[in-house]
Amino acid sequence: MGNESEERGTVGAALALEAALCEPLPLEAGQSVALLGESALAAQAVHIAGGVPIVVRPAGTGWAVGGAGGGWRLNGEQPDGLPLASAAVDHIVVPRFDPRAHLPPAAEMRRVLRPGGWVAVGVRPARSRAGDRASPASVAACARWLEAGRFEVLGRYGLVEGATDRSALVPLDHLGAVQFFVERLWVPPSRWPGWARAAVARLAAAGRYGWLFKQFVVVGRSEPRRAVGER
Amino acid sequence: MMRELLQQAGGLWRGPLRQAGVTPRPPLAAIELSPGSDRPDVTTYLVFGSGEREPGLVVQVAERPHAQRRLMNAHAALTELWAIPALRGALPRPLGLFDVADQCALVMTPLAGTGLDVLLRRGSRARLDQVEYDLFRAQVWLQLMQEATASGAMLFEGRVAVIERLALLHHAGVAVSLPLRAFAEHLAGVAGGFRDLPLPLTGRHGNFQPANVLIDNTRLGVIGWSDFAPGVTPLEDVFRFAVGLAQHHPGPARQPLSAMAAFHHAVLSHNRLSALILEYVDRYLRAVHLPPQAAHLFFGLFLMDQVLRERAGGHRPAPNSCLWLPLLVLYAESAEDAIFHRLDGGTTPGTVVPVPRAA
Repeated sequence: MGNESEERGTVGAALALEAALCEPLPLEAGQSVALLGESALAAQAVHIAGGVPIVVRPAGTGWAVGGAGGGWRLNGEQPDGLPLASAAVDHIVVPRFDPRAHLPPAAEMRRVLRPGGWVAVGVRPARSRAGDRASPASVAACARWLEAGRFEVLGRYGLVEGATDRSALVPLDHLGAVQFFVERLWVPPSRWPGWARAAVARLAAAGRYGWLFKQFVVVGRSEPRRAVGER
Repeated sequence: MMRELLQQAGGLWRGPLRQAGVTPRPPLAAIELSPGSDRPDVTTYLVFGSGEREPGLVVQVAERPHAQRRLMNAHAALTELWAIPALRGALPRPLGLFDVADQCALVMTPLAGTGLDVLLRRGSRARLDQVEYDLFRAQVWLQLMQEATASGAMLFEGRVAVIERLALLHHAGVAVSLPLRAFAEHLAGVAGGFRDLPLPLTGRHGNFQPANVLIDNTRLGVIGWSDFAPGVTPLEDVFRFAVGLAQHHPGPARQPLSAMAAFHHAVLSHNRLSALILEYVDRYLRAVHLPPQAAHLFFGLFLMDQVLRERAGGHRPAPNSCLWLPLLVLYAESAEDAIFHRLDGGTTPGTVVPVPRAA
């Protein structure tokens, strides 16, 4: 039982992330969700949550809206523009954030999102360099990317697909919750020696929780709080 | 869902929660726990107040209509059991059923402690003396709960009990293989000898396994009450805990075993863990005045019941938890090796634990 769940690896973990992406969003039935990237599973998760997914996938140097295969390229003359009208969608989900890949500028995401709309970004394991683990640096890069588009970053979540029969989505901005997770719920891989488990638990308790999570979800909102006097 | 839940916990639910003396400080945050499935039946949220290191609330949300019935059942069971002072410290306190985004949510207070499944997987309670103590504690707790919820007795049906289950397995579409049929016939023969045996009727937790048992130093708490049933025979919880404990135990090589291997290790081979399980079952049966020789029979019936529940969809196991049919087939094929044959009704190996009286 334990072997199976521990060795499910990246494929199983990716499935859990797809389902978890919609969790932190205030998604209501019938709301439109733009999925920026190829992800049938994320589209299914939006469906299950009652939303209407609009898949927007990379096409050449731009982005296109469409179903499986080919896609429908609208914006050849505008490489990074999204083929959606302004304020056209209620929320945006980016299933995979990879700073080295072709991402739309966050400002363009802000344009197509209605005021007050939310964005959820999955920071998943890179295929090559990062092995099967997304790094906390990727999470920081993701937050910077959102902030560059004037999104307010509302939360960061770590995702663990459990070595027991549970998966967990942990709010990383709440240190008490992270510590509770480490102390009460987390099960390290059985191949880890005892000292390594203890060391990671101590690091996590000190706020350095990157070792615990393979994947992350970063959530933002399109209306940052403005300082007094700011226009 | 998480966002709506946190909004409601900090808004609409504040009044009822304050009345119950629970006031998590906003802004709230939540850990979402779900069984390892992309479409779980029930998702659990541990809700933390600002700066708090322990959750202030536990909220279970039904993701499907039949799960809503299970949560309502859990609420009714906890409300009833919470009224029994002897059990109060070992149960989550139910605060109410609420509506979150058109889904049913059961709100409870949290229990202190760490899941026994987590402790076993970590190796923190895997030593055999610790296993022995945990089996003992589980038995005492079960007896306490059963004593508090006792509602009479029934007479064991004998052969009919086995034949009826075999027919139900047929009806449920289980391919009854030759070894399984032979095992059922053998079991029916054994059952005939215990006809009219008085069986107590008590409350049944329904999912009494290490993941639902929280250990906090010397205290033990029990969660996961959605399958509770009143007025049934009590042995299912006893066997389920033993099988679950064996499946989470790291095993002799300090590596988690597969469900089948763990089951074989626990009830079909002779080793120190199986000896402890045998002692636990023997002790329990003696304490409730049932003949220990009937353990083999009742364990076989227990396995059949688990397959039937699994088939009926009344109990949806997590994807990585055991599937009962292979275990039943394994037990049927190796029944002569079962540890329960060693129980002869004498005074060994267990000693009787007096049934604690509920207040």
